Amino acid sequence: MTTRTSFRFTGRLLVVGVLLLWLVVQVYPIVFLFFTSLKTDPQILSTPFALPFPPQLSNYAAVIEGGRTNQSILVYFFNSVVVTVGTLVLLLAVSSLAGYALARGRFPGSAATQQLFLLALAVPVHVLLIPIYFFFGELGLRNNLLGLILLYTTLGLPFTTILMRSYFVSFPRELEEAARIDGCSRFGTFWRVVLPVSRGALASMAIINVGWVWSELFFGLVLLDKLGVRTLPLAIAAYKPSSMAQQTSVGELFAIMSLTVLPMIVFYFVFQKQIRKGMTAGAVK
Amino acid sequence: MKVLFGTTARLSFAALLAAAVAISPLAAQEPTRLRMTVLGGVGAGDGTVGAIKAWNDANPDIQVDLELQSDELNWQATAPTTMFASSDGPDLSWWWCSPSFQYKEMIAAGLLAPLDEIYANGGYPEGTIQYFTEPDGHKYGVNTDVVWTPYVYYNKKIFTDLGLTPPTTWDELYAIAAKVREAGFQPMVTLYDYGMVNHLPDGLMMRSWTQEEYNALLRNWSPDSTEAERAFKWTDPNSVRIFQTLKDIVDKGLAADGFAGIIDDEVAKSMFTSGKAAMYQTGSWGGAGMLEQDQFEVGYFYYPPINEVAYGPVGSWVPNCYIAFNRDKQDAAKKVIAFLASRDGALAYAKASGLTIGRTDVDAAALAEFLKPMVAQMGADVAQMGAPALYESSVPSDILNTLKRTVGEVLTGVITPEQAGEAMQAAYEDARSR
Amino acid sequence: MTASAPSGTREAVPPVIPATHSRRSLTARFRQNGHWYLFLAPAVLLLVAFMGLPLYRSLELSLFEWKGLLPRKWVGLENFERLFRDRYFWSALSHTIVFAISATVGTVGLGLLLAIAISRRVPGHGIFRFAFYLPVMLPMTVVAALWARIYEPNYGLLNSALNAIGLGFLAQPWLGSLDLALPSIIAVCIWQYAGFPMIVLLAAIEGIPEELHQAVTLDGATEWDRMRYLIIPMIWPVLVSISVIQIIFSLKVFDIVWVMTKGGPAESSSVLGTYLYRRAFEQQEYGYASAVAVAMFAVIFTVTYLYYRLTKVDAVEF
Repeated sequence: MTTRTSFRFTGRLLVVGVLLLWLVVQVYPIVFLFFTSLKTDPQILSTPFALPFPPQLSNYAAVIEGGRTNQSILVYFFNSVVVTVGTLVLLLAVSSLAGYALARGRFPGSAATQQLFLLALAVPVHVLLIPIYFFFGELGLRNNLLGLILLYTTLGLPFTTILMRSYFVSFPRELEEAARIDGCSRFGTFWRVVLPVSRGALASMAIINVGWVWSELFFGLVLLDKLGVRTLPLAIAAYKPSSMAQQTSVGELFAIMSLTVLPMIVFYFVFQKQIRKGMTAGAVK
Repeated sequence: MKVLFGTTARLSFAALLAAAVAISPLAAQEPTRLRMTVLGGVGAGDGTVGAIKAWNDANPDIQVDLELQSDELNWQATAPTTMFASSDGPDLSWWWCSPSFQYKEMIAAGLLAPLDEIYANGGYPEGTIQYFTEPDGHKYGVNTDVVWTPYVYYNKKIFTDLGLTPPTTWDELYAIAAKVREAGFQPMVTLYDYGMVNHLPDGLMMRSWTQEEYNALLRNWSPDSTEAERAFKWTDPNSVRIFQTLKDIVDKGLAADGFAGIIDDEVAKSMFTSGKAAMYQTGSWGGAGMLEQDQFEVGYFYYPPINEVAYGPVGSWVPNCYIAFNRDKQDAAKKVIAFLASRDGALAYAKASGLTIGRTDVDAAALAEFLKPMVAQMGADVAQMGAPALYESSVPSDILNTLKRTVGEVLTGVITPEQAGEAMQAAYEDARSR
Repeated sequence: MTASAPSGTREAVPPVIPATHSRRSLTARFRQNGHWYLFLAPAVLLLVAFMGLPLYRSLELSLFEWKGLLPRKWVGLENFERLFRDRYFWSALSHTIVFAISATVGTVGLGLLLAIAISRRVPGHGIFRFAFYLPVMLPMTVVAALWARIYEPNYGLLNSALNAIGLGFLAQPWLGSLDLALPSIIAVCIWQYAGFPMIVLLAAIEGIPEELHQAVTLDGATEWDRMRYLIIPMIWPVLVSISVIQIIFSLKVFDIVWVMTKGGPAESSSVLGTYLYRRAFEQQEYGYASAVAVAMFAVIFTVTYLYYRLTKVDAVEF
């Protein structure tokens, strides 16, 4: 430990000073976001730095009530929750099955399948946008949250499967062999023996994927053009005042942004250790 | 077994058919339900909501369910290829009947039902009728309202305090901008994406081209254009002057600081309503909402004329329209549109939207009852000055996009007005050869 | 846990199928392995339906001219010829590359400095670590919309702050300026994502055995020497790997540019993602936009696939 505390005093002070400065740069905009959502439009425009006292809840009331062209923000929120939870459940199920097969299975085509996942990993999503747009129209999956769930699952699949495979590769075989001797089928072993002990890995996979699913805009923008099925990122990218007579709605936009950010911040507060660990594992392969 | 099943099926089908015929008088009492789409959050949305409510109240047998669309850009850009073309699409819609919004393609694809009979009773100006008559002789759209682009709204309080009056020339306007800046305000704010690079040049064309040039240059991109029309070019002095004026608007300080970063109309509008900017530029559609202000009084003026020979003082934009889709319920949809286009429908629209209607047979007194005095004045101006089609509604989308890009590059100083003229001329020649 | 782990501890590819398999009958082999195919079926089905098929259709569509309503028209490689001559495509491509490189250098560079600083157990390092990762958790659309308001030249936070502290001469029309729009967006990207390499590099630095630190200290090395000769060489593989990940991630940029500038002003911040989107969904040039997509695919696919082949993706610990 001596080496780590041997930093010279002035140097340390300087480092802490710079870190504090960066702390302000990182945190103040987020605080500003929440403060602004609690102010009226004239307050926002005239005194951007002032604290929101007394806090105005009118922006939240307005976005929760919604208007003719903007549904209640709760609808967007609900849609985002459905899509995120649905995607994570499906993604974990499909990728753990596939990852397990790739880790344990020695069968004709297993090497090729492995390559397939690696290739899929390298496909940039942009190339899929136009065909998916028309294809989903043909399948009736446009303006459909199930369509979005299937799509997002597919997009997250290559990466998550490969990570699950490497997890299962290091998973001790003894447990499974015992279960097999007891007469469990492959699936029974997987379901009753392997999965329950893999909760940590599954949680890491959920953590790696929750962020991008919650904020996905590129496909959402073209696949959800009806009101009522839209997700939160779309509410932000396409927010318009509900009628011409309304002058401005800057505060309402900030209220929507705050409501979009809040679940992620709460999530981070609660699971910060697991998140940092999960992201480190997911990032460096 | 198979034969037996087939016979049974056929028999039961016949029985069902008979039953259906038998109960059909009863079924007729159920209202026909139509689905209609409209862009919400703009005047057209407000107007259509009002007019459809009037229809639904008076016609229990045909009820229209209005679906308001929220995102201006996405919905407008993609609805024809997806929502309208799909088998479960709406029965009728509010739309932009212009080439850049796939109107021509929808006609060519047989998606739209002809609405000729609605025009039979007259009431539309000649320019509108010409605009909506297709080469096949049919009309597939009915105009909803008249929209003008070249408006500048101004803060009367700032103008009065600084002793300013609305300008009649560009130089006067630049002088106003300088004084406004000196007093610590931003001069003119406007949405960049669709305002400065699109509606602004639209308005300037009216002021720089002669009538002959105007008519030729709105058409001569087409492979069908005549040699005489092609004699007029984007590299001609009057064409280049359009770009020069755009450059001057920036160089002489009329455009607000950071104008190219205002990609959200909310930002432009809030700068004006909060008193930080003295002028706000948007079309007549902004009028209804814009003219009502708590903090200060709002006035408006048109872009100054550039020279004496320019084509008319202002331009209008007629493609805002209703369309009916070529589906089972098109007869019912046509009835609804016939009402929307009628005097009563148009007045209900004007009342709810605060916009000037497209019909010319409604007397000013009736309109004045529904519209704010200043909007009614805008309507009177339209009636007096005529309604030629604007550039945006006359050229295909790739040429319109070349214009938007070129204008953007002039405004930000990437290219000179002369180079902009050359770029447009090249785009025209490219389009002719296709 | 990292790419630095010696290869061979975990195989990237399963061993070659034993020769005995080939001697058995097909049915017997299926009976033995059939369940594995069922395990894989949902994943493979999804990949084929929603990735393979669209990919094929995209390649196909790039050879047509199509506006979405009328029948499409075969044009062969004409779209690609147009692409080659389209200076807006080239500028979008160069902006994308500039964005990817600057965002990577910025996030990884800053992340490295922050990681080294925090690893020295400065007072409050836990708070710093927590706070610096916080922006990574925020949805990018929110970050972009928030910063668009901060950059707003007239009442935005940034210019207001500069004016308030007497640095008004530095105030700029950030996103409205041809020269500053792209750098301003890149700065936001660095603001949001510097915490990501920081966390990863911090874990790597903390993995350096204490004895090595002591040895360096005994040699009388300065902090600079410690960084130069101990930390950087030890975490080098992680540094390379996180940089490549950031490059690949940044090449796909869309959300942040779309929300902040839509590629403007005058295309000065357009990237391949926004250019493709506008061509397809604003101008209905689906064929041409597909050609843009295919070009983009070629670039990103090659970079990514090479990287994953070179650095065995599978070594990971939980």
